[in-house]
Amino acid sequence: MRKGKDLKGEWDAFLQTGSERAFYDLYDHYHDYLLYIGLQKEMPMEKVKDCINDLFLYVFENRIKLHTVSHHHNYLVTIFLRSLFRKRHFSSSESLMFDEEQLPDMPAYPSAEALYIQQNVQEQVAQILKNYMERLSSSQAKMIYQKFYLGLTYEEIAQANGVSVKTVYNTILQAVAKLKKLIGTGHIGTLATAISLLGIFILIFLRIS
Amino acid sequence: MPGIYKKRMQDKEVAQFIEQESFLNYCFKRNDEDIRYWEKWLTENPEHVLQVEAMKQMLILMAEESRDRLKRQHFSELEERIAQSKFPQVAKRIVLWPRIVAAASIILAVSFSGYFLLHTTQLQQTAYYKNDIPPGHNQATLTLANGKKIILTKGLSGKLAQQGNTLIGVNSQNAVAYTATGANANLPAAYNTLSTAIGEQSPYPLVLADGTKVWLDARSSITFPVVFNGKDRIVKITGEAYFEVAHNNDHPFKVTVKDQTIEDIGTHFNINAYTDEKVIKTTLLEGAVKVSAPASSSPSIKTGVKLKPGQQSILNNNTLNVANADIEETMAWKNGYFRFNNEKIESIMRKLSRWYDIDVQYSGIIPDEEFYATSSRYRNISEVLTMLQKTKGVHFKVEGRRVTVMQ
Repeated sequence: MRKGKDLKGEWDAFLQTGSERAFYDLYDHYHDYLLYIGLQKEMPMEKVKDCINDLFLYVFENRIKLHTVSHHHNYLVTIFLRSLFRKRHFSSSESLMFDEEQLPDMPAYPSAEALYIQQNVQEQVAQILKNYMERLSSSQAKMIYQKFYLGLTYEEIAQANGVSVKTVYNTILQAVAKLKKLIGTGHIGTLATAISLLGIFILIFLRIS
Repeated sequence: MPGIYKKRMQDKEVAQFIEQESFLNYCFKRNDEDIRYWEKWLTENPEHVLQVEAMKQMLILMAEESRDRLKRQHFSELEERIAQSKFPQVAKRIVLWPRIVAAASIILAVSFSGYFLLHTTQLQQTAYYKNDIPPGHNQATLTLANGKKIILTKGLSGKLAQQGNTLIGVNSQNAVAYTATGANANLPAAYNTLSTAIGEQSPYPLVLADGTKVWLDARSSITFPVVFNGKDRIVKITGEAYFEVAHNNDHPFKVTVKDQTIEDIGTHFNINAYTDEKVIKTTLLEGAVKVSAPASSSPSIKTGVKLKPGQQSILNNNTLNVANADIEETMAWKNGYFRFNNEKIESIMRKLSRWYDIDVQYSGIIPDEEFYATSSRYRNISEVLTMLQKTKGVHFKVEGRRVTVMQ
């Protein structure tokens, strides 16, 4: 998965040309990463989201000033954490750098496989799933995102949403069970299944032999 | 195998896998140990291979879609704040550069995964914008039982008001919630109203005393009791609102709008009932509702219809039809954008005029085309108009608050 530091091209493009595409790409990445760090530090979801938007609003309004920043990743994360823990000084100076070692990486996520599944899933199934996810209540969608995409633990999610671990567990379980019923068994991505099945059989053969 | 037993079996199967974090770790490839464990388990239980593979793919797709939805929502909130701060500079500009502006709008529209068609033939760029018109913003007015008004904008917190033994305030979920602080059963019924003017939209979800959540679009209102006493929970709306009703079998939740009544039990649905639209549209996302017009002379409309998720009822004077809904299009307003799907220009201009406070005039023949476009709500009107102009044969002129539509 791409790391924040790899987005130097987008950062430079935005600073120099104000490219909206580059701005959106930066948001696309940091939205998940900063939500992960913030929620992991047991801050409520709304607050973390607001701090992320505060940060990006600041970047948007001050892009002319920011050309002095040499390490965009450290800079963004530092400003974000300061704002999250209520330190009020927004400045373009990098005087307070955090220790990079202290910040966790996001849990692993199978992006390549995700892309493959999206491209090979049956049209009908994709549509049912999309509609279903759009219809979920905001708390259901949030928790699924937090558990499946961000990889937070049940405790961390309970803390972030102000509910009990049991509630998180039940919410997610219900959402999954219901969707599974809607789709039916074994219908998802027949093509993808067939191909990965081949992979699994090969694995089985290798293990047996 | 009896149907119910089989259903419970299936639910239990899903639970058996999902409740193990190691299984989720295997699906999302979080650590080697759990991956190895489950791969081994699958070789030992090959009859489950297909099922597990299907479930894994489903979970991954759910992860992707949930992320997409949340990111879109959060980004549109950011866009709104950017628009708020940008406006002072924009007001000074007299002429905009349609081509450059359109390019930026196109890129962002594509990222919103909307439907977007570009007309490739070169049209005469006869757009003339004497000034620009800023978008609406998140604001609403809460009117208490005694007539006192509270303006709701973003960034509020804590207690807002008290109505008898009910506290009204911004809760930890950033919603305006009605919470009982004492017994309420014997108090006389008191009603509050939440309303939005042209160019306003709910800054917070409204959480009623029973836990039901409501969002209002522009030029809309909801009148509701401070406390729900009695068999039915009844609220009244005008304009457009989205509900997430709190489940309660013993006390049906009913929404009345003009002559229509929507009764539901625990559900997410959207009602579009503007007085300048000829029909009332009720779209069900989740759960079950019954839509009826109790005062109708037609017995079938009086009894009403039951909707299934994904369906929309369309109530016209004497007809009540049910059709499949485009959920993205229905919910676009709440998610911070406009989504026009095969829509005529008059309908589009009506929608724009609730958000932009404009006076729409038509010059010459009204274009008959149908438009596809997706655009953020938080952009100045010139950007939306320029995008519409690029797709088909329509042109606009903006002078003051007047927008003239021509072929």
